[in-house]
Amino acid sequence: MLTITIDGRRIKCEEGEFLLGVCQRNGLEVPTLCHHEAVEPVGACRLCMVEISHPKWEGWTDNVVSCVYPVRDDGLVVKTDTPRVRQFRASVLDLLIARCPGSPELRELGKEYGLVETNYIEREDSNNCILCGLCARVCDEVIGVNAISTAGRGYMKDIMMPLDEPPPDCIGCGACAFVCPTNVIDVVQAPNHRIIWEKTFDMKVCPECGSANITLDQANYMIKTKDLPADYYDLCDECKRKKISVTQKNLAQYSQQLLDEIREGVKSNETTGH
Amino acid sequence: MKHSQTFDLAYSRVRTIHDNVTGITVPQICFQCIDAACMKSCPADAFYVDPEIGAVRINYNRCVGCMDCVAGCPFGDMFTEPKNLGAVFKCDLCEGDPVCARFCPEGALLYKEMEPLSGKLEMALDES
Repeated sequence: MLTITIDGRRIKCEEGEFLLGVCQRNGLEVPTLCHHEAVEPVGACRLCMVEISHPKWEGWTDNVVSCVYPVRDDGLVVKTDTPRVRQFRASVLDLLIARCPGSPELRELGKEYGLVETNYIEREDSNNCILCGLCARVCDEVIGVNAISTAGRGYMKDIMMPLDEPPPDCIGCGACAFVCPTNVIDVVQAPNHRIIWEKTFDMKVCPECGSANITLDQANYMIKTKDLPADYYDLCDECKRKKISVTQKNLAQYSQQLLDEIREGVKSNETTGH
Repeated sequence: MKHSQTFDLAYSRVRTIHDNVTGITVPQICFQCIDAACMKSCPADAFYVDPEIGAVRINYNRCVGCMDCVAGCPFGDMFTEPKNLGAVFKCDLCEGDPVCARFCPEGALLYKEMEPLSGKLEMALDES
């Protein structure tokens, strides 16, 4: 267990724990776009930059990306909001806004750092993706299907489907769209189909009422990976609730019966002395 | 609704089931299962059991919004926000003071400790 100082507060943490995680756990706000607790950090957006120093370093300081900086030294001094850090974040945001001029999330963050307009030329054919790769990482590490990834180099780099066609491995769960920090990925949800990554997914329609809450591919994928019975995802939420209320009623009657029988049994045991 | 601060039944964690035959409406709330299906179906390991009140809760920092839990709950007690697909929510017992039980005028919803079974009954249950 190490003790470090963050913004004047003494905080305990484990050795090797990432600095951003320590900050967030203790309620200190560090801006970040590409970080998610469920996946390995990669330090793509560079916004969580903080200033670190140590009494032994004779006044030297260092700027590190906190999401990929593991705490190793006891007595580390961390400052999350110095002028130098703010300047660095502002220049990162400046470039990001130039890349994604249509993103309200970035504009709002930019305002906190005094950026109303970018100092660079705004990209015209922008799709507002900051290329943090969080969608691809979640798809690979959490969902485990690896349907999308980054492709291309430099200016042409983008999140792409394999061969630029609707991804065959995609199960249509929508996790990529949910975690996207700039809400770029479109999901169209209709009663009986869902469109994501230009692929149309049929929903698993409830045989009793016709509504649905999971795509057919996702249901099949879950049944396969989690080893579930084939009819596990058949019913929709509403019908599941109806079914369970009937079961509950029967169960309550049954358990009452059982309890009565046991009570009688206990009483008869008491009278016979066993 | 307490959690979303909106007036919209789509955000309610309590759903009612109406029985047309008897005309009775019964509320249904999350059972806070010991062996919870939502917890087992989550690929991101985002569910945890509250150590104080025993509620199964979501760590939203880990949730990726795949909605496996919504489809995976066998009782239909996991929900997703209708306008923000993937933002899932469930009953978390309001940190030990459920507002549904507090506001129920008829006492149909109660929040109380489970009455312990008497020693002999428990023994008899174990035997059966």
